[in-house]
Formats: sequence, structure tokens, C-alpha cells
Amino acid sequence: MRNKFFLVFVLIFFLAQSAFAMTGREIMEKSDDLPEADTAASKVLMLIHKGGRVLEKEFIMQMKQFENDEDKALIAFIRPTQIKLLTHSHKGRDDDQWLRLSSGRVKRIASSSKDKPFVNSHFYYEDLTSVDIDDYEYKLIGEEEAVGEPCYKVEGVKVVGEKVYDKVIFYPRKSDYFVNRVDFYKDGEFHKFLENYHVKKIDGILTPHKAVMELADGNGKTELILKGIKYNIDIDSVKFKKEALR
Amino acid sequence: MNRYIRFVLNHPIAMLVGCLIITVILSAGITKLRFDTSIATFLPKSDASYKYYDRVKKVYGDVDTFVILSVSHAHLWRHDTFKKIDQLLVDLEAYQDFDNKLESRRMERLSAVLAKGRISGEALFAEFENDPSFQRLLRRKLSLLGWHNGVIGSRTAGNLKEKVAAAAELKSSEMIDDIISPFTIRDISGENDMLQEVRLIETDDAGSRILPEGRAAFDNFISRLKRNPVFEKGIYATDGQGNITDFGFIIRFQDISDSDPIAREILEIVESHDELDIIVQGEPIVYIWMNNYMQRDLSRLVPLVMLVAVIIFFINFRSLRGVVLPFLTLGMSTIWILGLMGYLGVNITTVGVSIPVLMIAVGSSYGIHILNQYYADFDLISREGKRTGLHHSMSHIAVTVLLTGLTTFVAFMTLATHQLAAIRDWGIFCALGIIFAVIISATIIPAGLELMPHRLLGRNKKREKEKRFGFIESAIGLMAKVSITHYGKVLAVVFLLIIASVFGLFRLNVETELLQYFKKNDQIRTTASTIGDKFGGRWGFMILIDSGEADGVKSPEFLKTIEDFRVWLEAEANSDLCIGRTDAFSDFIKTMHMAMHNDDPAYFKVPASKWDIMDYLEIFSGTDANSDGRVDRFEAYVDPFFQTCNVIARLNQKNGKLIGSAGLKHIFNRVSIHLDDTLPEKYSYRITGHPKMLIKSVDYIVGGQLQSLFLTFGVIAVVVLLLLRNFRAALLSLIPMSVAVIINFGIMGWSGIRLDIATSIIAAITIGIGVDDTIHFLNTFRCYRKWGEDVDTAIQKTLQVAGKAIIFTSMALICGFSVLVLSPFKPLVLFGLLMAVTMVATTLGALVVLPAAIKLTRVKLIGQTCPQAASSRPLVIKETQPATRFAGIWVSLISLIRQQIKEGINEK
Repeated sequence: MRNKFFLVFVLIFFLAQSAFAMTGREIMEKSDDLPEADTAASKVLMLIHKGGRVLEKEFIMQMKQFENDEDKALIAFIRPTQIKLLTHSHKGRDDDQWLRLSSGRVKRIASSSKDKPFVNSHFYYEDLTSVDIDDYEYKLIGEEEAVGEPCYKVEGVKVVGEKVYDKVIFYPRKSDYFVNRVDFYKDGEFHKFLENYHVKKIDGILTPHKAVMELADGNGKTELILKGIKYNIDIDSVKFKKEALR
Repeated sequence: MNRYIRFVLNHPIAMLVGCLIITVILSAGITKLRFDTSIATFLPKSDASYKYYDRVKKVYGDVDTFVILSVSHAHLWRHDTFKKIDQLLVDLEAYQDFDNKLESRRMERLSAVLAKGRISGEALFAEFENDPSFQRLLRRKLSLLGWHNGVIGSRTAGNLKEKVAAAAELKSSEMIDDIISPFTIRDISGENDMLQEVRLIETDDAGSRILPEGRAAFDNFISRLKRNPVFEKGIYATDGQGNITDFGFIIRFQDISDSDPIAREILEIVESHDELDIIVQGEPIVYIWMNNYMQRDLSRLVPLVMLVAVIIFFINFRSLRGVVLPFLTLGMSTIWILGLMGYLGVNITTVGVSIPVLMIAVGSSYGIHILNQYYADFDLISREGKRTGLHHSMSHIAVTVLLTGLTTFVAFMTLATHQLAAIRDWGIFCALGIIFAVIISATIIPAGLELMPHRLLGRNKKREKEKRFGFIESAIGLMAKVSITHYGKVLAVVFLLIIASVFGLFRLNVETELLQYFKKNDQIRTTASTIGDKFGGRWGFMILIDSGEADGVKSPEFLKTIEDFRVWLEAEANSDLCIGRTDAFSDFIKTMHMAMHNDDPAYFKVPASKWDIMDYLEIFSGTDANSDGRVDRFEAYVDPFFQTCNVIARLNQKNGKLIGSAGLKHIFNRVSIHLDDTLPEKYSYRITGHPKMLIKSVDYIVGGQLQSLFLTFGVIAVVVLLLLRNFRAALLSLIPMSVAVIINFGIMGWSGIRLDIATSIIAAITIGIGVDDTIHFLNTFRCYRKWGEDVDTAIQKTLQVAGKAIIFTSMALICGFSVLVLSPFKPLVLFGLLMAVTMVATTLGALVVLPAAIKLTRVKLIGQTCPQAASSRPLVIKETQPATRFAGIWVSLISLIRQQIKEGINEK
């Protein structure tokens, strides 16, 4: 099975290992090589902080890894609308995304729209796709504390598929390679950053209970608060079919 | 003033040199003078409606006023034409997104290349072969510097660097907020079940636009353009058969009130792309053009005005000193005030352009009065000795000029608290200019006369002169006869004139329309009309409709209300509203709805379900760069809470009919009445926008000028009351000016001249200058009465003396400013005409109406304060030439003032 990790919820965790003389790629491989859940179902509260207003949204996210070298994720909103977003991740090419409106109408999201905000949050559609270890070239650029933990600082530049960000900087924890923070650079500037908080083990898998995507200029952020998560449960594959969206 | 004149006469060279040094120093300030035609100077920033407008702009941006380009070409659908259009766009975009590193590199490279020494233009351009945008900028700036080919001289090179640096600074301010065009716009497409935001012209990885090439690519581009109904008249125009003929570039600014520099740069860029057919319009552009016209015409006509004034000086005085000294007075006054403004960093606004004109008028007036005094007292000066005689003569007249100057000063200073910065500065600097004119005339002329030999070359031509001005004698005789023997009829005629003028007043159109200032076939008007036809208008206003609750905009009922309102605005039946196009938030929802239904035009409508609208807003994949809760593209149309919808209505002058301030008021009233009647109770609305502010500005300017005008009356009355200590005389003094003003406005009413920004300023200037006529007459009359003349004789003699002086001054100004009638720019023509009308009116008011009123009211103006010293004057006056006979008045008046002052001191 191909190893992947989601940028939004970094669900893959590793045991602490010596990183002596490791390259950026090796560090990220350590992070990527860890076992992950085959399926996951979570309920998430999304708080969007914009213009002095906090917009609340809630969704259920289900994710399943498939043997045919792809994984699929379904985000179904509970409020304020009932839209659904289905993502099929592929190796070596752009992912497919479909959107189902409350009215039942389904539309495919074009890859050119991946750099656009998802439901007006600070996450882009790109952030909701899975990331293959080979999609990026890595370079260890230093060590720095992130979310109160000593971390490596690894620069990644996307080399496969549409490039939304100029580069991203991962901050895997020295202790367990769990990526505590990701900095996103866009149009030559530090654009936004993601931080994972309250990381706890659930079913043996380190899971952040809160993730915050914040703009670099401090003008807004989106919090994702995990209200519940279950790993390795039985999820019917039919749910992830495009036709099932209707 | 007495001591001052003594000092001047004792140190004439030092005073002249001092004035000259000040003039030289201040003339350097003129080089620092900058023109500011920005809209900001005309905005009523303290007004509540402006504050609301400002708040609205903070939420929605400067969206109601913009620069619009209509871009076309004989062979529009060719790849190379598109390349040219793209180059135009790239040049404009440089002022939207600033790349500091790139600009620094460019400047460094340019400096290095130019530092190598003399270089040919082609060699310089070759250095920037890989940077075509910068290459074009260099060509543009060099062309402005007068370089066309060959080697670039060191001076040009230095200037080029300065201009490029200035352009870089302007770029760094990123004044352009957005450029909406077919080349930049994004659309939402739902073709083949694929929902995507598409650019009509895609970009490559480097950000360069991939321009269509070949028939199929162009057809695809046209089909994309035509797919969205919002784009028609928005970013493209058709020829009536549906063929696209022009592309529209809507350029919005970060802050429209400070758009002058960037609007000038846009004009420069547009002119440099002369291979394209580009029409440029928009309020910032109109302001610039108007200013250019005024500057061009003033620089051409003001010297002509001065020349005519000089001729009048010569006719009046028949001597070199009679030309040189008043000319120096008006020249120095103009240099001093403009130089001071330059040093103080006060820019010349569109209104401020009239300051040199005012300086010429008052400089001439004061110069004529003082020099006339010299000629009037010529024999006295001969008798008393040059210095003593000059001291007596000049002291008297200088105080009078000071007094009349102070009266005008106060009138202008009343504008110092005006709401509009442009009028405030104008009032203050006009007032200071008046003081400068008083100081200079009371210095240069006495000092000059002290240094010149005391001889009267003109006197030997007395006979010819009297013959030449025989018509003035006849006119004065007629005035005297009419006002003395037919005073009842005179007043009856005046009464009838007033009645007619009052009727004219009711016809007076209080309206300002900037385009009205230009001739019908002027490019400003023709382009405004073309842009209106093609793109629905060059400016607009905003109607903010509040749903009453957060997210209320997402309701289908609310959006349908908005749509119904837009239909009403654009309906043929409501063509008096002059709405050429409307834009609103509902367009996005309609576009999304259509996209979600495979781009079926039947679905270009507001969906019936609120869920659909909410979903569309959730999935609309636009950037929210400032994270205020709205997709950037929504910002102009909806507030961050989705409570209020901003309907932007573009104003179009249909059938070439201009929309002035009165027309705008009509539109806003009609819209208000309609919304009051039709808007559901839970919704509310407000109208704002630049046109609304323009109405306010016009009201403030016209109101301010009228206030200044009437305050001038008060000042005159107070001055006369102070001088004559006679309340009835003070009231009488108001008659000539009141009659003049009423007749002036009556003529304007009957002749269709509008009371607008220009004419109200003109009225204030001309009446400010005409103030002293009344004072001259009353004091002369009063003194004749004191010296024992009966009323009829006193009137006759007063007319003989004061009348001629008044007529000569008025003649100089009327003839001088009549030259402005030659201007193709209407405000200047009106200036010339109204100056003539007002001067004639004030002159007749003082010389006919006032004596008739004195006869009728039998007011006793024999004050106890008429100076004894002046009692010998009438004999002198009778003997002098027409231009100098009124000198005695000044002696009388000054003696009177001095006595008044003394009495005041004694009383204390």
C-alpha cells in the first residue's frame, strides 16, 4: 500500500528515531513510512474567523484507503448546508474532486480550482487532497520549535501535478516525526501556516484534536476541532463512488 | 500707513530692491508649485453624507468612480492586435502589483547604463531587450522629455532617471486596485458537469497570458465572452448586430480621491499605445482634462489680458511710468502669492487657477487708483516739493487702497472655514494676494515715483485725450442729468429691472455639470457619449439595500427584490433616470445558477431555493485575500455579513443630454420615491456615491460663494457706517451692489447662464473688486456737501470726479477680461462676460442708481468729519484731466479716515 499523509489531519505517526545526518527526504520518509489507519471517520467543527465574525460549520469526514493505490475521502457537511465533497487521490497525477450540492446536483471540481478556498475557509481544495511522498522534493533547512515541540524544518517543493504553493515547510517533531506545523508559501511570500494541537493517541494513532490554519498576516484563521474520530472501522466503499453522491 | 509711506519715500531704492529680492525669492517658489486636480480637494469631508460615503467605500471599495477604456482596432480579431492589447494591459498592471525587487533591479541597471556616458536611445532600449514592459516605459518617458531618436543627452538622461524613479514610486503605491477586462476576468463555467472558474484568457506558468491564435481560438474566446450576459456592456461592446467591436477596461483605484497621479499615468500609457483605438473616460480623467484646458487657455490668454490692461494703462496715463508701475504691481502680486503657495506646498486646484486672474484684476485696480492720485495731485506735488507732495498724496491713497483691500480681504477670508479644501485654500490665498497687492502697490508706485523725475509728459496731450474720452464726458453728463432730474424714473426703471431680474432669478438654473464647460464637439463630451453608448456610462452611484439581518442577502426573496429594482432602474419607461447599466451581487448567484445547469442561459436567474444560494456561496471558489468573509469579487457588492447589497448604477447621458447636479437630484429623488413605495418594510436603503458628493460639493461651493458675496455687502455697510457714521448712508451703500447682483443673476437667469461652481466664483471675484465704487462715490458726495454744495451740484461734481475714476478702472478690467471670450473653454468665456456685466452693473449702480436714491431719500450725508484740509481740493480737481480729476476724493477720504482715527483715539 502506498503511504500518504493528509496535510490537514496528519494522521500518520512514527516512533522517535535518531535523525543523525538524515536528509530532508529521509526525515519525511520516516514520517511517511509509519503505518496508518485503513479507514477513519471523524466529526469536525469548523470555525472560520473572518472580519471579526466567526462562522461555524460542521462536517463528517470519512476516509478509506484502497488497494488499487488510491485513497478516497468524503466530507459531508451537516450545517449550515448539506454539501458533500468527494476526493479520489491518485499517485502521480492530480486528484479528482466532486461536489454535491444540497439539491443533489453533482459537479466535478477542476484541477485549476485547487488553489481556491474550501467553503470559504482558509483551507484550499488542494489542502484537502492527500500528499504522496514523491510529489515533493525535500531539503532539511534546520531545526526549530513548533507548537512548543522541537522539530526539524524540512522544505518541500511540489514536483508532481499542479503546483499551488511555491513551497511548503514541514515541521516534523524530533520525538516522533509527527508533523506539528506546515508553512505554506505562495506567490513568493509566506502565505499561511497549519498547526496541530492537543495531539493524542487514539487506537495507537497520534491524532491532533485541533488544527488551525492561519494566514501569515494574522488576518484570519480557520480552526478544525475534532469532536470524535474512529479508526479502522468498516466503511462501505460504495459511499466513495461518485454516483453515490447523487 | 502714513509712516510707512514716509519710510518708502525716504528709502525708495532699498524698498524697490527689497521688493525685487522678495520677488526673486518667491519666484523660485513658483517652480515648486504643483497642480492638484484630484477629486479630494472638492469633497466635503466634514459633511455627514461624506462620512457615510467614506464608510461605504471602506466596506465596498471605490467602486462607483473609475477610469474606463474602450479598446478597439480595425483588425480586432488578430493575434498581433491581441498582443498589442496585452501590452497595454501589462503596462497598466505594473501600477497594480508592485514588484519591489524587479523595480530595484531595473533602476540599478538603468543607472549603470546611463552612468557609462552618452548613449543612443536604441542602445539603451537594447539593454532592456528582455524587459519589454520597462522598455516601453523608457520610450514613453523619453518621448515626454522631447527625445525622439539619436543620442540621449546628459540632461535628458538625468530627467529620464527622475521620471522612471517617479514612475516606480507611483507603482509602489499600487494605486490601481483592479483592472476588469476580457483579458483578466474570470468566469464560472459548468460545462460538461465540470464546475470551474475560468479565465477567458488563460495564463502560463510564468503568468503571461496565452493569447488566442487562429480562428478556432478566437471563436472560443468570443463564445466564452458571450456566454455570460453580465459581460455585455461590462467588458465588451457590440455594434448592434451582436458583433463585438470594443473591449472595456474598467480600472478601479484604491482611493479615487487621490487618483490624480495615476490617472495622469494612465493617460500617458494610453497615448503611448497609439496603434490601438482607445477611448479613455472617467471622472478622474475629466478633472485632468478640465485642468489642462484651463492651464492651456490661461497661459495663452492671461498674457493677452495683461497686454490689454497695459494698453488701457497707457491710454489712461500716457506715460511710461503709467504703464510700468501698475504692471509691476500686478506682476509682483501674482509672483508673490503663487511663490508663497509653492513654498508652503499648497497646490493649485481647479479653482485656484483663477488666482493669477484675480491678481491681475486687483493689481490693476490698485495700481490705477494710486497712480491716478499722483496725476491728480501733480500740481500739489509740484507746489509742495516732490517728496513732501508725494508723501501727502501717497499716504492718502494708500490708506484708501488699504481700506478697500481689507474689505475684499475680509470677503475672501470668510471662505477660510469652508467645507471644501479647494475653496478654503482659494479663499485664504486670494485674501493674502489682496494684501500683497495692497503692500506692493503702496510700495512700488511711491518708491518708483520718488526715483523718477517729476514731470508730466502726458499733459501736453491733454487736449487729444479729452477729445478721445469725450464720450465719457457725455456719458457722465447724461448720468448726472438722468439721476438728478429723472431720479424717480431712474428708480422706476431700476425697480422694473429688478422685477424682471427677480423673474430671471426664478429661471436661474443652479446646476453644475463639468462636461457643460466644454463645447459639444469637444473630445471630453464626445468620448463621454461614446462610452455611455458602449458601456452604459462613465460613472455611477450606489444604492445600498439592507436586508435587515445577517445573511439576509442569501434569501431568494431579497435577491428578487434587488433584481426587480434593477429592472425598474434600467427600464425604457424610466429613461429620465439615465441608468446605462447596473451591477449587483445577484449577478454572481445568477451566473453560478447557470453554471450549475451546464451553462444553460435559461438559468441565468435567481434560484428559487435558499439552499441553492447558500451552496453556491459555499462553493464559490474565489479568493478572499483580506479574509473579511467575502470572496474578493463580492466585495464591491455585498458587506462581510451578507446583510446589505450594493447596487451600482452607472449613469449614462442618453442622447448626448448631460447630467448636471439638478439632474442628479432628480434621479436620486425618483429612486428614493420608488424604493419608499416598493421596498418591503423589513428592508431599508441609502443612496451614496461620487455623484451624490458632487451635488454636496456644488451646494457648498455655490452656497459658500453666495455667502461670501452677501458678507461682502455687510463689510461694505460696516465700512461706510464707520466712515460716515450714518446708518441710512450705510444702507444706501448697499443699493448699487444689490442692484448689480440682482441684475447680474437676472441676466444669468434670462440668458440661461447657470449658477454653478464657475459662475458663483466669478460673481464673488467681480463683486469683490467692485466694492470700492460705492465708497468712492459716497465719500466724494459727502465732502462736496460738506463744502457747501447742494445735493444736485454735489451729485454732478461727484460724478465728474469719482465717476470718471470708476469708469476708467472698470474699463481696464472689462477690456482686459473681454479677451477671455476668445477661449474655447466656457468657464473662461463666462468669466469675461460676467466680469463685463458686473462691472457695468456696479458702475451704473454707483453712478446712476445711488445718486437717484440719494435724491429720493434726501439722506443727509453732511457729516461733521469732512476734513477741512480737503476744502481747497475741488478747484484742483476741476482743473485736472479726466483721469486725474477724482484725486480730490482720495484726499477727502483719507483726511476723513485720519480724522476718524484721531477722534476714535480722543474718544478713548
